[in-house]
Amino acid sequence: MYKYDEFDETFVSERVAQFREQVARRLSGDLSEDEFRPLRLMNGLYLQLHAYMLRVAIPYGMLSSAQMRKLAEVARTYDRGYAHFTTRQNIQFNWPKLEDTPDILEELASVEMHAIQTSGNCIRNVTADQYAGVDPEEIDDSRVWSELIRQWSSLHPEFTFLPRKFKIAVTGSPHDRTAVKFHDIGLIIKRGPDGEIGFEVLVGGGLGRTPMIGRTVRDFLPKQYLLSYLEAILRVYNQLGRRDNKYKARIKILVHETGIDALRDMVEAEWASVKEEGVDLPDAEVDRVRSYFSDPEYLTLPDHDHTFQVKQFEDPTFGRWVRANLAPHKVPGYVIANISLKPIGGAPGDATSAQMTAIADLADKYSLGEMRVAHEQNLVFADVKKSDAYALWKQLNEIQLGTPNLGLISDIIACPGLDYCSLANARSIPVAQRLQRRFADIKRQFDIGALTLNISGCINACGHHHAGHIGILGVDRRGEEYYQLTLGGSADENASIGKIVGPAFSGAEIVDAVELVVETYLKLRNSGEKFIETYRQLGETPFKNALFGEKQNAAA
Amino acid sequence: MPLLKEGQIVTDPWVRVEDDADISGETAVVVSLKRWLDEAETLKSRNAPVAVALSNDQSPSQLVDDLDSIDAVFLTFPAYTDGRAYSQARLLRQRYGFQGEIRATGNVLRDQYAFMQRCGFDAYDVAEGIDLAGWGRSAGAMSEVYQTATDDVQTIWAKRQGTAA
Amino acid sequence: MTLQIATANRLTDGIVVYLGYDGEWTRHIDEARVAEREDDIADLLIEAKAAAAVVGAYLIDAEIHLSEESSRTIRPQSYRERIRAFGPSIHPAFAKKMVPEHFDPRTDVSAVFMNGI
Ligand code: SF4
Repeated sequence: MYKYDEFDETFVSERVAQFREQVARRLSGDLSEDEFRPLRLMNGLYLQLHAYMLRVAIPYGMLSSAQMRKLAEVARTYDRGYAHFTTRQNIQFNWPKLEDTPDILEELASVEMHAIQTSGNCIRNVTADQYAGVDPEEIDDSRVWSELIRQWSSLHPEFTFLPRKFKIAVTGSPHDRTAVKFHDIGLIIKRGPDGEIGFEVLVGGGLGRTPMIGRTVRDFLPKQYLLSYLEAILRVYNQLGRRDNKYKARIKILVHETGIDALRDMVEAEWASVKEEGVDLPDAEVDRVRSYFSDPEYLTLPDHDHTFQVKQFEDPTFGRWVRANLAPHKVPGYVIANISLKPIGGAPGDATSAQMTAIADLADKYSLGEMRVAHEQNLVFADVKKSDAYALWKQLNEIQLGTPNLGLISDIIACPGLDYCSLANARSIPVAQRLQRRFADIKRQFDIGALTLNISGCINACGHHHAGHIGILGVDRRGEEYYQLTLGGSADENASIGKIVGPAFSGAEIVDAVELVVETYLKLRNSGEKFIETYRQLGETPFKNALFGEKQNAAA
Repeated sequence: MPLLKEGQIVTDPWVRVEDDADISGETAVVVSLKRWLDEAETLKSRNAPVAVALSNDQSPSQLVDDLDSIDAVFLTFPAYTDGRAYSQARLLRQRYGFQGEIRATGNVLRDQYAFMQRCGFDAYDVAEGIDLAGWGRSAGAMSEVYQTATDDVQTIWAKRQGTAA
Repeated sequence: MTLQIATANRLTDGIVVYLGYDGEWTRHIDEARVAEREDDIADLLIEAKAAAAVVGAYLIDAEIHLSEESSRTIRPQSYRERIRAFGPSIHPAFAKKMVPEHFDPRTDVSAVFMNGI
């Protein structure tokens, strides 16, 4: 993975020193809260319901075991012994003290991590595919481009005070795992007419109050122009994006109000000039970054491993883990292992300091000392030998992380919700926990099959509820927690936005409502059909009827 | 309002004038874009410096043909969180090659000083009694930069290629 | 007029605090200064907002709650403020000490949830 050179090191450590000075000015009263807030946000520090919250970037989801150990140490030393993996390849500490944050950032800098631009109206941490570099179908490694974008966007002098936050995702595989179409800019790596690498550029995707699927602004951008093209889009947005209304400030609204064709004309006109202005990188720098992501020395292994096969029969739970959590690797004899951070009844995406340390040790032992973080709030060991898979799973079970539920109904994406978040309307985590308990039976989960269930505690949609096959949105009804159901969302290459069905449910009703939706699907599906396929075939009506009764629906 | 230039507080020769104000004298005046577009010829024939103030929604491209006759362009930050003037400054300095002063006005704070410098600003309307040394420290807090902007600082990327070559 | 108390987050560590009778900020909601008359409420807000040691001070609706042992506890009216005062509901280990009986996060999560705290 990428290693900092002297320049990256200086950059990050000077940034820590600068923030240390800003914190001192705040504590001495030199800076008012109004003046300080954007400065701390630019360094990932929020003030939440109960305490400050520090969001640390995990660029394109890559973590070394040393970094994971450091995160565990920070959780133990400066926080309350646990941390939360978010839906955007970040990690959050829920209880840091303001006065400790410069020390925390210094600790993180020592393992080449930072919290730069994990908040604020700037270009945020870039999302990439958690299977980058090992997916057999991959066209090009999204991490290379993500690292270049990370550098380009770090303290970009022109684009640090945008109308609103700005999120970029890069995917290099035909199967999208990054929710690329729900980002302000989505970059889909593809091959051009002569087989050369480039990007399809999407713009204006997003969730939140006004969910939209990104539109193609350019079909094929030759790779050497990536930065100038991004700069052109950002410049148009910086000048024209709305600043009069926070809820209309994202680029998706600009796309919507201007129209994609008019916006494309502006971007292309801007780009015609920008690309002559020396913004793009020389190939040598791209190659330098790429060299950090070259393949490790894989062993030559038979693709068939006897123990791996036998153990799946002997131990059916392992068999389930293999079916749900493992994915094919490009090298024979290896697999990609997903580690679910969704044990039944846990807080989705949370890990304790002890678990994090244990995971780091396991990564050293079984996955070349590296791991990835997925936007679904799970972890990935990308380079596991088939012959090691059983031993790995056994040891994951010892730390409660061997749950075989990846992509199943209990693999719930949930934002922190009202238990932590000051913007929330309702709690998310307890709903996730109750749903997990309701569907705890693993055989039932496998029978239900692939299903994404996403929960957000408010319309900001950090829990990607619109992009879940089943989505739950927390709302406030006269001072009570209520939950709105959406159906039919999807975050992959066939992205769709979930539709709201009927009035919201109370906290007491919501779990039954979800179960009714699932039971309806089980009754109606054709054999082998996934939930989303059945929904797309039949539409919302049968589900609405089940939830609200046919008569009421007809009357409405 | 104190004027910060090249790290020092200096006297500000510029006077902002309304669109209908008399400008027959020889003071250095700052006029609106509208007045400039309406009265460019008169303003050019005056025997005194002239500056144009752009609001955030006025494109610097409207001045392209006149930049040689303009001594300064005033840009504004209604709040320091409103970053439109960064783009305006870069366009003026980099794309249109404007050589005169680019002034930052409005909510101009030391924590954005370095960003403004990198985008082509070289004059700053600042609050009374600022801590000049503190501004200097803020400007120099980040000695390394990645991306190419409008200043002539050698970027990390350029340095890497230099070391590689 | 509903009873009002002033709350904020402490600048140094962000912890939830309430303005007490002695002008000090306290972590314990039961020690919060309760204002009922209009001018007391106005004073409370002015004092809270002027404090340099806290961030984002504001007033909340509260009610006095008498427990079985007839000790006096204060309960915010909105569930958001209750979670702020006593939560997080999912993490009993980190919920505030001195949890009053109307909010016991140590019981089963779903039970707490169903009772609507
Ligand atoms: S969706 Fe709302 S409640 Fe959930 S984390 Fe985001 S802002 Fe907070």
